[in-house]
Amino acid sequence: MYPDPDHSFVLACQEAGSGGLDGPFRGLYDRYKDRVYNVCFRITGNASDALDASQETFGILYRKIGEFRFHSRFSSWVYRIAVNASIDLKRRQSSRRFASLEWASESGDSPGRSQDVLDENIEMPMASASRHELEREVQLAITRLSPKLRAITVLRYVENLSYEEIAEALDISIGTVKSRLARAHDALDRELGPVLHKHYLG
Amino acid sequence: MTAPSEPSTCREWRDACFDSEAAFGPGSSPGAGHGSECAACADWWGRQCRLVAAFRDLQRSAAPAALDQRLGSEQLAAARTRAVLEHLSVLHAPAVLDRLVGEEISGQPGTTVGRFATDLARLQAPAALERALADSAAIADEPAAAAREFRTSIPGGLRRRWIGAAGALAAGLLALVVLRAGSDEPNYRFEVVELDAAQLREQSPLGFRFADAVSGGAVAVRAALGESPAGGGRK
Repeated sequence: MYPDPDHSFVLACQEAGSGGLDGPFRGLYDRYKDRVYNVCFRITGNASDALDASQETFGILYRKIGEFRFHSRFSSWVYRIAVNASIDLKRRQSSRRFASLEWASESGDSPGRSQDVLDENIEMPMASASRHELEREVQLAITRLSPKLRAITVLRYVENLSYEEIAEALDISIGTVKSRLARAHDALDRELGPVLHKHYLG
Repeated sequence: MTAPSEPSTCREWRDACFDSEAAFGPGSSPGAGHGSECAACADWWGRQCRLVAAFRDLQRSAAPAALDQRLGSEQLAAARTRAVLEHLSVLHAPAVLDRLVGEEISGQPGTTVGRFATDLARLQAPAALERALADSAAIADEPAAAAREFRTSIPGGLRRRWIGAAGALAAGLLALVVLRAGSDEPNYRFEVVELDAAQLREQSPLGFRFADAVSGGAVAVRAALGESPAGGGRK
């Protein structure tokens, strides 16, 4: 049992049963919609998929909130659903893309055109050209990580979760959190080292 | 795992850096010891700090308004579905189910077959069958009509002579057959034997099934009723 800051909100939703966004669920939605959207955005890599994954996350929360028994923090549950929804979305897309690439190669389409699909629609808020470029590089590096390392990285550095919260959200041990984080750092260091050096040290 | 070009102490020190959640954050330092003595690890520490800073500098986006709309419509649809499901009436099993299940679990082996066999719909013969029968009857009548026409078209004397010639030819052929009767050719003979259906079922189940299939099920019915003779066999 945790002292859960969302306890009263969750209980209100469970007692109300339904009511849509106009009911008690609105409170939870407003608390989490930006956090969920950011996690989904960083894991999926684009705004359109982030919207789909966020919608799926809140849909699941709405339907399953009656079954939540506070065995973990509510926030951990929300993050777990958001991470899984985002990873599942990308997995479904990659299997569809694999099928379409097979189809394209059979129909004589050029591989370069198909490869472009991977990186399109990446949409970043922009403060400056340099910053925009860095954001883009960082996002691409995150996208190239495996789903497990991507989830760890986003929860740790985008959402600033503690090791304990990450372990709870992903249902893994704290030791696994540390080792995955170290592996993510290795991969990101290889990808981003020169870019970051140039950006921060000129 | 340690990279070949890297002493194990470097890897151990770097792994240990992840024990502290404050590592690489603003104001953190590699500390005294290996981190300050090893130039490679000091450089690595700097790279990790820049990496974490880049992540912390990532722009946080607000959820778009489209999410509200999507979620609103999704929840509306979910509420509608739930309302429909809640208003579905609960169906009770019909009383006949008790009887059917009772028959099924305690009845004789033939109960189910008998129930379904007696419930089979009786079909009327299609009109096409009647037309086909009429056509075949007309075809069968054609030789008789041709013979009648032959008789009336040939004069009586000539007809009698042809019949006489045909009779002589038939007598000759019969004599030839009788003369060749002592040869080694196989002698096919058929004997009609009447068997009781129940007896046939005991003596030759395969023959019984065959006779039953040929008779359209009549043999089995007779065997069940104990009538005799009911079936025939040929040896």
